[in-house]
Amino acid sequence: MKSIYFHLMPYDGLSEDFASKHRSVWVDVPPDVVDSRRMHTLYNDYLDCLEFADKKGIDGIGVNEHHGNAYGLMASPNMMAAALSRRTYDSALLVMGDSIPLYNPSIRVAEELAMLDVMSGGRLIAGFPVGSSQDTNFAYGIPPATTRERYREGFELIKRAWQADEPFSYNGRYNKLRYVNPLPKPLQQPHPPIWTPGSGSLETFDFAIDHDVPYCFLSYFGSDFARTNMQTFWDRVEASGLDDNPYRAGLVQLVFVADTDAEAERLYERHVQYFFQRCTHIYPGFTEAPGYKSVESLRSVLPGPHAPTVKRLDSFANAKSYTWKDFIETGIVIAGSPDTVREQLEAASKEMRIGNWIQLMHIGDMPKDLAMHNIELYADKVAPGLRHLWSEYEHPWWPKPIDDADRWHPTDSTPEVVA
Amino acid sequence: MMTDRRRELAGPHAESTLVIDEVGLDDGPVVLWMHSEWGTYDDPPVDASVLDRARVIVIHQPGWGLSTGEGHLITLADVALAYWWAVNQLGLPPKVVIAGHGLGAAVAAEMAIQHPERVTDLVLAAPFGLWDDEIGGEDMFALMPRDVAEHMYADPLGPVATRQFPPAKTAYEKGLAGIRRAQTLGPASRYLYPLPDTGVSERLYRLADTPVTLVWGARDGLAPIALAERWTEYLPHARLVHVEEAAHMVAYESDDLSRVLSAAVGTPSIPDSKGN
Repeated sequence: MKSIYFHLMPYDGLSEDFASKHRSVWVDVPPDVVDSRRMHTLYNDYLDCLEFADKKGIDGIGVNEHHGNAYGLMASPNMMAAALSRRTYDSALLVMGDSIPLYNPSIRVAEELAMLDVMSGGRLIAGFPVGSSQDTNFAYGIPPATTRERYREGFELIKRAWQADEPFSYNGRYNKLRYVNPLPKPLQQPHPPIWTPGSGSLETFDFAIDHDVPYCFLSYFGSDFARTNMQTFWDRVEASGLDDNPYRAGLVQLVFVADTDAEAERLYERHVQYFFQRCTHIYPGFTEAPGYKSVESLRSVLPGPHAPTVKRLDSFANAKSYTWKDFIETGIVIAGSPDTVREQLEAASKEMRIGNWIQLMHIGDMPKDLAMHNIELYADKVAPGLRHLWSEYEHPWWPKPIDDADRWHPTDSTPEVVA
Repeated sequence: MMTDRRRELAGPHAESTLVIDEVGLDDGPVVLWMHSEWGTYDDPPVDASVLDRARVIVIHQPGWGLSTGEGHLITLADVALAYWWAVNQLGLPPKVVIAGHGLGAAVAAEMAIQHPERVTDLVLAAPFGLWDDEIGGEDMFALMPRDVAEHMYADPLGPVATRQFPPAKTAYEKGLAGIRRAQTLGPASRYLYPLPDTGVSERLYRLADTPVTLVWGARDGLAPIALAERWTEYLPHARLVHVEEAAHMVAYESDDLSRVLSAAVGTPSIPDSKGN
C-alpha cells in the first residue's frame, strides 16, 4: 500500500468567530482574513514538512489546487511541486490539480507537468481533477454545463501531446491549435501515471474506469463515508470487466499519530476542530453549481419518497459541533497510537480495497513542529507495518523514475563568478 | 394551459429533436414563445385575450427535457438559427411576433437580430443579455433552492410561487428540488454563466426599426429592472412596461404580458396595469 503526505496549505489565523461573521471560507471569502506576511512563513513551513516527509521515506508527497480559498492557499500546485522537485528525491510527486477545465489551451498543463516530470527525474503523478464546483465554476467562471466536456477534451489533448512524436493540429471545441508541440516531453513514457480524483459522481467513476486509471475519492469525511462510494466504484469496475487491483483506488484520510490514543486527542483535537469549525465553513450554494453533476448522478443519491430525514455524515454544518469522539467514531479522523492507526488503516484498506492513501497529516492551524512529529511517528512506526499490504499486486500507476546514476544530484559547490 | 397540438421536428442537427406545442387559433397572427431558464410552467403564460386571437407556438428549448441536441447549440445565435429553421419547417407566415422570458427573451432578441424583417413585434419579459457591474443581480446559479423564491416572486409565499417552487420539506423533496435546479439552470449555464452578458449589446443596432416592448417586474432580483435603462439606451424606441407587483416571474405574476401580446397581434390596445 502507498502512503502519500498530502497538503492543503491552509491559513492558520481564521478567527474563532469566522463562521458567524462570514458567509464562506471559499469563493467570496473576505480577502483581508489572510495576512500575506503570515503566508510567507506558512508556505515555507509547509514545504519544509513535505520535504521532511520525503526524507522520512513516505512513498509520495502531494499538492493540490484551490482558488479563492482560505483553507487551501495553493492556487498553483505546479509552483509548489516545482519547489519540491529540487529539494526532494525519493518520494513520488502527486500533483492533484491540475484541474484541466481551468486551463486553455490545455497544453499549458501538458507543458508544466512535463517540466515537473523532467525536473523531478520522473517522479510525477498527474492527478487530473475535473475540479470542484467552487473552483471551476464559481472562482474560474467555467460554465457548469461545459465543465466535463472541457475536461474530456483537455485530457485527450494532454495525453496526445505528451506522446506525439511530431507536431500535430488539434481542432477541438475548446482547444483549436494549428501546432501542438509542447516541449520537453515528460521523462516517463508514454506519459506519467494519471490519477483521476472525484467526489462521488458516477461520471467520474466511469471516466477513470474507461481510461484505466486510478480513482481517488476526495472528501474530508473519511473512510466510513467513503464506503458506499467506493463500493459503487468497485461495482462499476467489476461490471466493466477490469481487474480488482486495489491500486485502482485512492482515498483521502485525516491521519494523526501519537504515542497513545489519549495523547493523540490532546495533541490534535484543537487543530481538527479548527478545520471543521472554520475552514469548512462553505456557503452551500457554492457546493455544486447546477449542471456540474449530471441528473443521473443526482438521481442516484435521491432518497425514497418516504425516507426519514437523517443526519448526514458528510455535512460540514453537522461537523462544526463534533467532538474528538465523534471524529474518531465516524472515521473522519484515524488517530491514536501507532498500533491504532496501523490497524484502522489496514482494516479500511482491506474493506474498501484501497491501495493509495492520500493522507492529510497536517490540518487546520497545526504548527510545523507538531506536523513533523506526526510525519515522524507515521514514517517510523506506522508505515513499515503497512507496506506489505497489497504487495502481491503490481502498481502500474506508480512513477518510474530514471536510474539513480542518471539523476542530477545537488552539490554544495557554489558556482564560480566569472568576471 | 392545456396543450392543444404537439409537434416533434427531427432536426435541425442529426439526432436532435425540437418539440413544439401550439395553442390558440389554427391560423391567424403567430406568436413565438420561448420559455425562461426555469423551464416551462404550463406555457405559454397568456390568457384568452391572446389565445382567442392568435396562434401561439411554444418552443421547448433543447436541454430542458423534451427537445434535444443542446450540444450543437453552442451560442445563442445557434439557438436562434435552430428556431428559425423550425419556423420554416412549420410553414409559418413570413412575419411573426416573437416573445420570450428571461433566457427565452435573450433567444427572442437574437432571433429578431437575425431576421428583423420577419418580426412585427418583439416582446421581452425580464430579459437577460446585458450586464452592469453597478446593477448586478443575484447569482441564481449560487442560490439554494430554498432561497430562490424571494428573488423570483413579488410574493414569495403567494400562489404562483408555491405552485412553481413548492417548499421542500422532506429529504426526498429537497432532492427533487436539487434535480429540478440541475435540469433548468444546468442547460441555462451554457449561455448565462458566469455572468448573463450574452454580448447582445453589440448587435442591438439591428433592431432599430423593430417594435420592442420590455415587460419587467419592479422587484426582479435576478435581472433587476434597472437593467431596462441599459436596454433602452441601445433601443431608444423600446417601450417599457413596468410591473410594480411582480419580480422575475413577471410573465406569470401579472397579465401585462397578455395585454402587450394581445395588442401586438392586432386587437385593440388595452391599457396596462398602470393605465399606459
